[in-house]
Amino acid sequence: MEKFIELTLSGIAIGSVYALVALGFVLVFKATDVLNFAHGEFMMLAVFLSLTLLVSWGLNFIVSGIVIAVLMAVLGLVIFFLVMKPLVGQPLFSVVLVTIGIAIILRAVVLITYGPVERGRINVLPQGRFDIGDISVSYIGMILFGVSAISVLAFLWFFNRTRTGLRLKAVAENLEAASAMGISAVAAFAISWGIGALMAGVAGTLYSNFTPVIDTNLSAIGLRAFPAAVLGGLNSIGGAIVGGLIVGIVEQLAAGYLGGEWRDVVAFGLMFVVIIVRPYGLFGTPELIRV
Amino acid sequence: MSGKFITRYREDLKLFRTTPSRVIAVLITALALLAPFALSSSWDPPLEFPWRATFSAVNLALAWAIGAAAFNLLLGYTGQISIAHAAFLILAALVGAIFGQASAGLGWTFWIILPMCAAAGAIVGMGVGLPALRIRGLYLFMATLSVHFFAIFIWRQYQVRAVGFTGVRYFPPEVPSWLFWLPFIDPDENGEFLIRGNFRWYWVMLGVATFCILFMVNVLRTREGRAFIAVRDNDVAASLYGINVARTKLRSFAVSSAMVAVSGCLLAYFLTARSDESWSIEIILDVAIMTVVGGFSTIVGGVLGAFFFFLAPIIFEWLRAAPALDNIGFINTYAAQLDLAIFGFLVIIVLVFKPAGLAGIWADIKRYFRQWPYRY
Repeated sequence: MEKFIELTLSGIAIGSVYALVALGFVLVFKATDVLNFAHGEFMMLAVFLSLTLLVSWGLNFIVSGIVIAVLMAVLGLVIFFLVMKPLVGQPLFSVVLVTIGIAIILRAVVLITYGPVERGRINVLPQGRFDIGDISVSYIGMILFGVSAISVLAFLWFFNRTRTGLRLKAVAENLEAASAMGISAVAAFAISWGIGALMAGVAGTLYSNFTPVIDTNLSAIGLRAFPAAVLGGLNSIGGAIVGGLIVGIVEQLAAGYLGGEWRDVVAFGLMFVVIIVRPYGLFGTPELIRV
Repeated sequence: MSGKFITRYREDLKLFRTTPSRVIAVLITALALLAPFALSSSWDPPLEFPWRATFSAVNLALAWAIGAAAFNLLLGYTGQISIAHAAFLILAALVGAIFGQASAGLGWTFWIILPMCAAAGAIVGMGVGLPALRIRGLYLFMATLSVHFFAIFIWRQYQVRAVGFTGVRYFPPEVPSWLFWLPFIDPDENGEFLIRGNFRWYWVMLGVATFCILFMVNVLRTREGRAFIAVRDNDVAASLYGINVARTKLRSFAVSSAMVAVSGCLLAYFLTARSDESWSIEIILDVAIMTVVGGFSTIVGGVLGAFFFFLAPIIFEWLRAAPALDNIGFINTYAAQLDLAIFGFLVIIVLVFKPAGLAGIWADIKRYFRQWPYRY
């Protein structure tokens, strides 16, 4: 039982990071109808950036987190204006392929800058564990969950309380009506890309303190945004949060009881089952299309 | 409008409809037959072009051409987005490892394994296609992404149990003794003729690739092929015309997956070793590069893209060795990564400016000559 609770707690910690990744992914998808395959690479890039900022430059964890988040937001804006904006209205799969092109470039840039050798985990955060009764909890897990929770709350506050956030919601809801109300669709798309990449940046900073090794395969962790988002419903913001947590918990339980090699299969297997049984996820709106 | 008009339905169904297309077919055949002799000759091209490295690239391109064209068959003609490509490469490698002449295999000959891979690919492909009956577009894309991870997991389980962490080794196939009368086949002192080295593999690759690509082109000329296109354009309308949409989708998946499995089988035996590191997520990126740059949605595009993908790095390599660039250490240290970056930019540039890719450029050239001296 202790093992179960410990695994669940570490699942919540890692799941909250997935929730952040998924949130950025769903935001871009909801606002601009682009399935961003490069989202995994965004997160990988953020992990490598924390390698520079936290380890090489020795910056404070919070400062480096903010710097990375800002850098990633700028990257998101640059990608939007350079690449995605001319492609608005193109067929779905062309746009997916363009994001794959972006993923290839980011991967090459990371390999050129950091070399192909894998690095160890960053350990600037407190490393130990503390016990509550029989259950031992790691400090890092607590920090992961805490920072993710703050980021999610900030995200929700932005979208429900600020003028810009409400405009973004309007554009995501109905592009034409929003445009008729004088809301600039281009600005909304750009901000969505910026915030989407920013969320991946925060997630990457956190994850760099958790992952055992740092190499380019981390983009597969960023792709956890897919199962998390599908589970919650591809167009549901709340669903992305719940989906991320569920994927994290299920994955940790599987790794704990079955072995580490089951992590990927269980996460993506869950997605497969959800797609077959309930494609619109837990909280998404069903699409009424005859297939 | 100038050029040849098609007046009868039978003419429209012909594989080579015009004289130029027949001439081009003859030229390509001649090139394909002469290329291995030229590539294996000791000729030194001017400016130190890396001539020898080209041969294995051509072989890889021939094997991948099948896979890339199969991807385009499914995406371009049936409109189903499946990126479970690696899963079928793994399936073929697995069939070869379990039954074929490999480190822990049963030792069946390669010539049985190859059709077995195709059959296994077709059956599993229909299984992977099942979600396509319920979902489409993005959801199918993601469902097939999870198939990729399932396949990697199964391969790892097999590899760890059967051969350990070193990976599976594949042994060169033999030509059966009743074929020894053929030209160029002279058995070694053990009385066998092993297919190893680029020259011998080339003929296998060429034969299988030609067969598979003509097969796909021909499928598209049949009723089934036109049903694929009808399902892509409008599945509800297609069902009203009496096309069984579910069966058509599954058939398309079966053909495409069988072809990918064949290319995976060729690759496993040609590269002689496969381990779990051979199947990273980068395979999806590689297939994307090939199909986009070649021109996605056409069979020709897949073939052109595969050749581009394997030959372009050789040209880049050659350019890097040029005196002006040779001194810049950065370019030579990160050669492979720079190639990757160039490909990434190419994918985006092609999609933004010339979505039809190399196949589109080829079509433009043909149109230019057909309509000459008019512009349109």
